[in-house]
Amino acid sequence: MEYLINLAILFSIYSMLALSLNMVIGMSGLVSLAQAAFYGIGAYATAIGMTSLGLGFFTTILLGIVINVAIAFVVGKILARFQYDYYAIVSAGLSVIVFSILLNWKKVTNGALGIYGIGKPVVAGYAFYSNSAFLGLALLFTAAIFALYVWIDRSSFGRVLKALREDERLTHVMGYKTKYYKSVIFVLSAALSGIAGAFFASYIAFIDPTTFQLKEGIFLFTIIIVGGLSSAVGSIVGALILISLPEVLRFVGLPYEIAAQLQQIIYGALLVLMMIFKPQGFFGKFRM
Amino acid sequence: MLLHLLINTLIVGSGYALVAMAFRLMNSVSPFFNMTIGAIAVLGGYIAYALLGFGLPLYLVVIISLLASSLFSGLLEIGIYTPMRKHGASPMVLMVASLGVYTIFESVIHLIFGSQYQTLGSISTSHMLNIGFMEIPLVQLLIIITSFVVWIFLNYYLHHTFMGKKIRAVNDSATLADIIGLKNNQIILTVAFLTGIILGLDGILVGYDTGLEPTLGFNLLFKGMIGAIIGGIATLNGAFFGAMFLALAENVGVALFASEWRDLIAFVIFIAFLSLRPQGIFQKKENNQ
Amino acid sequence: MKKLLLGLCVLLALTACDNKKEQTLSKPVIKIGVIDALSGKYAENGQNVRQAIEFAKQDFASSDIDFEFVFEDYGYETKRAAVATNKLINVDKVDALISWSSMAGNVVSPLADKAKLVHFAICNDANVAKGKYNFTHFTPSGPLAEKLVKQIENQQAKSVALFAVYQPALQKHTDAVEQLLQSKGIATERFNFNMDSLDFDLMLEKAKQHNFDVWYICALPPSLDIFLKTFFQKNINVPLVAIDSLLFAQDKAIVEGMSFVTTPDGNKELLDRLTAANGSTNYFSVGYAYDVASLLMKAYSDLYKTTGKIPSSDEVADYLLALKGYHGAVGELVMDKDGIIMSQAVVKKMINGIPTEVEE
Repeated sequence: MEYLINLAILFSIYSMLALSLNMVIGMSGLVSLAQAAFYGIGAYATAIGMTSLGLGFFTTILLGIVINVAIAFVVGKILARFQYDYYAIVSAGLSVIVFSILLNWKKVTNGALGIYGIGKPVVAGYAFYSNSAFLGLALLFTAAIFALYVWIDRSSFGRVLKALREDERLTHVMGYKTKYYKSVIFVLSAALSGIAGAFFASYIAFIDPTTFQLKEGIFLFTIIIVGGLSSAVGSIVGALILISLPEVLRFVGLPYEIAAQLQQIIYGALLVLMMIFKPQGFFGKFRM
Repeated sequence: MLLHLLINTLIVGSGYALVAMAFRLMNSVSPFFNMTIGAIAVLGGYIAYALLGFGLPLYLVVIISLLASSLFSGLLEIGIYTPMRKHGASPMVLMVASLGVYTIFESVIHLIFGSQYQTLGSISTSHMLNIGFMEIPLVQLLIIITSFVVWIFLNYYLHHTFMGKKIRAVNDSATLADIIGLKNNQIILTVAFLTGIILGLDGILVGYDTGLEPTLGFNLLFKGMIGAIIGGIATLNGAFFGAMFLALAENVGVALFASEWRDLIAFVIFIAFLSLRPQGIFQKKENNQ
Repeated sequence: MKKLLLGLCVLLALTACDNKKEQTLSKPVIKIGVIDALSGKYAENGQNVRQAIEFAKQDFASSDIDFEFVFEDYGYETKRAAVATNKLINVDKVDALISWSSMAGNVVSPLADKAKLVHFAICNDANVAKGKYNFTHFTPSGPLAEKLVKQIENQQAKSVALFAVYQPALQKHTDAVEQLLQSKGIATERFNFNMDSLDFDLMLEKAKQHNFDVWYICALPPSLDIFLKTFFQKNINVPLVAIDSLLFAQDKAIVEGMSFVTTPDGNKELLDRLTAANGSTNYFSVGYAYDVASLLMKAYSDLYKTTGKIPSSDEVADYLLALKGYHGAVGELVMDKDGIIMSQAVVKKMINGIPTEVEE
């Protein structure tokens, strides 16, 4: 049971990430591979905040959000110049740059050695030490992000984003400042992935740069491709499938090397088959 | 120091240029960010590694490896990408599909050859060549030569042969080429085979120079792709000089700062170029990006 | 789709509950869980670690207890290390844990403490050894750095160029060397590079301009091999010193005749067996893995012999903490009060491709 609770924590963290990524990719059609970078910045904000600065968990979430908003604002301005596959490639580049900084800025991030001993959240004297309590808190945040997603999706803001996704030029002609809309949703999504990063850092209690590489951004992208673009339920289903897949493979009893490669082969095959037969994903509404 | 910087730029840049030119060539008839470009090179290298293990003579090894990588390249194109494009897949969808293909490929290489890094020749016995003012490893000289030969050959091929002209026609407008009766598939296949050979060569040379790893494909692809894009993706010369420029910028970065910032420098330059001069260094400005 | 999800949940739940293995043997079974990187960037090292642990199991002549090692892959990813550890603790109900790499050690350490399980980490990160049940084994940087700096001082060097890869354990070694050199008034310059660096031409050319008296390298293949190749091709006539690294070079011919600081004897036979078993010559961590598995088995069976019942985690932890004078695969081992195994450092030279201990 304890094992399933642990998996569920991971699942809820990746649901937050998938939901926030789907705001950018699904709602507004901008294929960002930079999500792992904001996830990482959020995680580092919590790690550094809780260990060296002595801040509380929730304060560090705010700190991570502030940093992510600032960075995403600048990065979003650069990215707003691009579309489609160019957007994807440039965002991948940004992810490599952030990873490089996390690895090399040793004074702040402790470089390759990583940061250990990250604490658990404390609310009014109650510390979330037990995994089930931690899971409850994580699910609460996931639910809030889910609600936010649905709310944006139905709001007039969301409708403009979807119009922009289908035809940016037309939306622009109709008098909407498309760059502004693209920028706002990108910043929001970055802030929300920072929250997921904070939960990850606190859950694992140790982080290092290798967790936040481009590979992770591609993994997150795979989650929402499998689950479904522009679908809140799809994001969660995608996270559930891709987080449990390696665990299911653990129990199949294949040799480890083969199991690990088989998992990669399944990821790859999922991507290819989805692209051939159902480019909008299982629950998706938008096709690239 | 300056001399070393220039020579090393030439070596590294030539390696990037081979991939960049292959990327550019493929892109001219199959316009999307093809993530499997690096995999084709890696396949060539590993086939050569396996064949050398069987004790085949080098010339046979090279021929078979190049055939294998061009066959792989052709199969990917006619087996996956062309049918998808016919069903209206956007460049974005094709890019994601090629990412999936790459993931599968990397794992299969892992399963067959293991995760160990392998070199085609023993490092300690690699030949050094005296070129007057300095010594340079033979294989690195071969990389430079191959890259220049491929560059000159492609320039000739694209401008002075009938097939080359057809390729350029498809590049200008696939629909138009279709209307005037150019057989698109045949052209795409020719290009796929040609890229396969260029990339296969690169894979073998890399195998001799720095060695092979299953994960190598992504690195090869990224540097080649950045080179091709900053040079201006629409021309062959742009790809070639773009790759050289990337190598120069990286090396200047290493010389001025530190080697750990190498990837960062490459991507900052890439993004800066795309933002400020999306048409590349060597191309006149066009309105549509 | 919903059915698929339901199926997945049921499958997971079933597998999680289904761990009641039939015990037909009368001998007690001790399960040791190993969190190992069997796939991913360091898969080769991780697989060699597993092989070494399996050798240790074969070699351990125990009559009273059956040892079972349960390996779980974490693919060199923190999130999977956490899940793998939880699986081992809660599903397999292991009695003790072994982890490989500082990354895994850092993730497993708090979990082992919480579950009150003895955890032996193969890494040199002192943070990992915190808590009663956590132990580490990987030559601490201190003795290695001291030996190396003595070697450098013998050369009457005034400046040293330090080349190191971004790998946690190797960065620790290099940090220790750098601090010690600076405290002795020897100038240093640090050249770091990323794990996948394959071009050292300009970096070495740059260092060459500064005329350092001694160069130091700490890396793993493939960057190590390419570093060495470039070093020799450039005819840099400066003494090259190293900690461990040269032992891992894939091309043994290139390091012939060179000396380096490493852990004492015992390694050789094990390394040969490893190469015979899977063809790998990347020996990083192998001796330590062998020791860790042997020590845990020894602790359990010694305690079982004296008390006649399966020892608790506390008893095993106390036993390990009292360890001294144990002859392991990486030499004479002594446990310090924090649960860090202290091993000695010696200078070895590559003679006919074999690392041989030499007198200075």
